[in-house]
Amino acid sequence: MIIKKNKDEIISYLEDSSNVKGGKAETLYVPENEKEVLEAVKECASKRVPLTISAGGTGTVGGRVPFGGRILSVEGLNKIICVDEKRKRAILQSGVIISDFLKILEPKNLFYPPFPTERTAFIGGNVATNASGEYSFRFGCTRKYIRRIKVILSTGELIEIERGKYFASKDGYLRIAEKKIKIPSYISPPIKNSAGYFSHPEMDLIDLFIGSEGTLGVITEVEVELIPAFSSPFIMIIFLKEEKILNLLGEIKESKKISPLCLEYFDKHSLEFLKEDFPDIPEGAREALYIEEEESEDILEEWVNLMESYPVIDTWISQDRATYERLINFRHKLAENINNYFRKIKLTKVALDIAVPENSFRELFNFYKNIRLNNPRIETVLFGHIGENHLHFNFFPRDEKEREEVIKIYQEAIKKGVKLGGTISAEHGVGKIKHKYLEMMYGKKGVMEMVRVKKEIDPFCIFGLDNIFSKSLLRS
Amino acid sequence: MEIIVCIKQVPDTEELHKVKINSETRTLIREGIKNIINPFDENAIEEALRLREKIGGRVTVISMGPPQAETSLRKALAMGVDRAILLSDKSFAGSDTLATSYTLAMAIKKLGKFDLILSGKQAIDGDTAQVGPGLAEWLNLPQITYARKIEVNEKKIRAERTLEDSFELVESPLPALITVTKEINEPRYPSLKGVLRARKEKIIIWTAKDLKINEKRTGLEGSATRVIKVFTPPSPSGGEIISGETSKVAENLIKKLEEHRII
Ligand SMILES: Cc1cc2nc3c(=O)[nH]c(=O)nc-3n(C[C@H](O)[C@H](O)[C@H](O)COP(=O)(O)OP(=O)(O)OC[C@H]3O[C@@H](n4cnc5c(N)ncnc54)[C@H](O)[C@@H]3O)c2cc1C
Repeated sequence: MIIKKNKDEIISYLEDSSNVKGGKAETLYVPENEKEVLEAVKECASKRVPLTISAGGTGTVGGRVPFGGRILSVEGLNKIICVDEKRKRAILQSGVIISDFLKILEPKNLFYPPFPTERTAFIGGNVATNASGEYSFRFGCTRKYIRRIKVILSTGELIEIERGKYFASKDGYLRIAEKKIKIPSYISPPIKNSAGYFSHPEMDLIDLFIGSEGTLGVITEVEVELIPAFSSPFIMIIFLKEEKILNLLGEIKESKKISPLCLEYFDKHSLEFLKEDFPDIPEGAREALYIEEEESEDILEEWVNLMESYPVIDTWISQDRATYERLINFRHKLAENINNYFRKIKLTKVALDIAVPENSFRELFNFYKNIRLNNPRIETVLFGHIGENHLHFNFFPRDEKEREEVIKIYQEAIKKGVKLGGTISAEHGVGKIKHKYLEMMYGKKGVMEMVRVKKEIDPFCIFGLDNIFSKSLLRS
Repeated sequence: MEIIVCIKQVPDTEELHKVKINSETRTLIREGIKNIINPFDENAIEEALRLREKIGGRVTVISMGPPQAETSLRKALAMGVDRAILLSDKSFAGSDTLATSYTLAMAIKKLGKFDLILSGKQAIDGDTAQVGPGLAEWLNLPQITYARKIEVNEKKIRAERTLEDSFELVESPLPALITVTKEINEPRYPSLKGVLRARKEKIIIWTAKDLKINEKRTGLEGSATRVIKVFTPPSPSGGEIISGETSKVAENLIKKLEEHRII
């Protein structure tokens, strides 16, 4: 096994795509098989040394950033074990890079729908965060496609969990190895959600591990379900000159004739952030909707019908690879430009990642709008996965005073989202930065139930410390 | 204003490396390769549409090529041109720049009166930049090549013609032929209605017979040039991967660079 102790060889593992600072670790393990993973885990367990699991490092909440102890990088577990074209299944080691996997699938005419937008993520990271990418509007999130996983626990056991085999009993107990574990009493909202451990009456054991953010064990192998590849989609961007998006959205969702892969929203400020890259964004556009779908005449006709009664200024459509790639940047560039702007003005962003059930979305959307109306001085930008009732609402506080105001607004919004039956983190997870909000969602009791579950599965308390909840809670 | 745009379908730049050469016929094997509108021609279409938006008129796109060139004409329709004509006939195959410009000229004569012909400065596959000028010769028109900006007023056109390190301001009476560079504009995206219309619109197809063409002047026979040899240049060999522990790799690399007197 490769073991690195040299500072400059470890340094790149001390951060991810968040701004979480203060990462430090003494040792880095790079195992190349399960046996070596087991060795590393046993060593850390016996010495009670914290062990942080590291994958592609694209996480946005500091999940893989270690605050001391050792790091286990799964990059060496990078074999695609098999792709069963007939059963539409693939078995992968957890360190396989998603983009490599998608490339292998392409000539086989198969597709892994929940790939995260950032394709340098690993399949293990994808499972550990329940990250779901741009097509989850049509296909649903990662959870749905994970059929089996192998996990190494701090007790030195290697367990294999197949979906559909191990359910919680009626009185709420899951069995792991020889242990009986009571599931938390809260119920995870039935929407896109990556906040804390999944819990539901008679839940499947595999769902506890999906989205557990490296706190329960090392996922070494994953079996996923695949779907047949579909013909390459077109991108359409619809520019509206009045704020009518919610009504249009309602009609799109009701239409039986179309089935978009994704529905992405851009407010006026988002469009301003894109002006440099897309100077032709029509003057007077107040909002835009980005969709992808397979092309057919019926589908295009239906889109024309849907838009008939809306104030559409212009539509852009990709017609070949070149225009597809240019237009896909409409989505990718936005996040990039926003992050660059934050960096330039030297501020960390304050970003809401709330999703709510379908019937509450209008209320949340109007709540966001009111925040803007009442705080016209504060710069904001609103964009994202509107199809799944999930928007990113980012704030740009200019100074400390504004920052304080923003934090207050942020907490109000979290409260609102929770009250509407939503989640505080639809896709990015809790990691090291959203503990407080997780508590607002599930209450102190809910968080303490997660702590109990963690301690029962990881009795040596070595894995992913400070992810989901503060490690100080483990002492109680 | 009657505007004609000549466009060519070319292999997608991303796919150029996949294009193989048939050493016997000395032509490119294009089967299975995705195609696009020659990028400079897209600028020509965009410029034509902008002129139409400003002063009114009609934009006609013409392409000579195999039947699959239709997809490129449909894209032009989706961008908003008024009609699209495909010149397609077995006897056109193998045309060089002379034969191609002749065939296009015959089609334009058939169309009748026009004010302006636009095309890209060159096609990215052959890179000759000769078809535009050839066409002007066949039609006995004034030509301005490499235009990066144009302005039309009444019966005159004014163009900024790109030179190596400056530009020329050239004026010409209309009708005229202009070839354009990338700088002239940013081509628009097709709109939903445009795409839908393009799917339904009929593409006009003209064969050699329709053009009343002298068949000795088109295709391989009408070509003044012969390709003697085409080959793929051998890719450069060598290169070395240094692997191992980071610090050792760095040390090793520095040693090698010194050995080769690079540093
Ligand atoms: C530009 C950009 C776009 C993004 N877009 C999306 C998006 O559209 N949707 C979305 O949901 N997310 C998105 N993300 C977030 C990120 O891509 C996901 O969270 C991602 O799947 C994390 O994978 P990773 O391999 O990079 O994991 P890392 O960042 O390395 O780790 C993430 C967490 O998973 C744990 N972990 C990793 N591997 C294992 C394992 N084998 N066993 C146990 N625990 C493990 C780590 O300990 C850590 O807590 C985006 C991020 C960026 C930078």
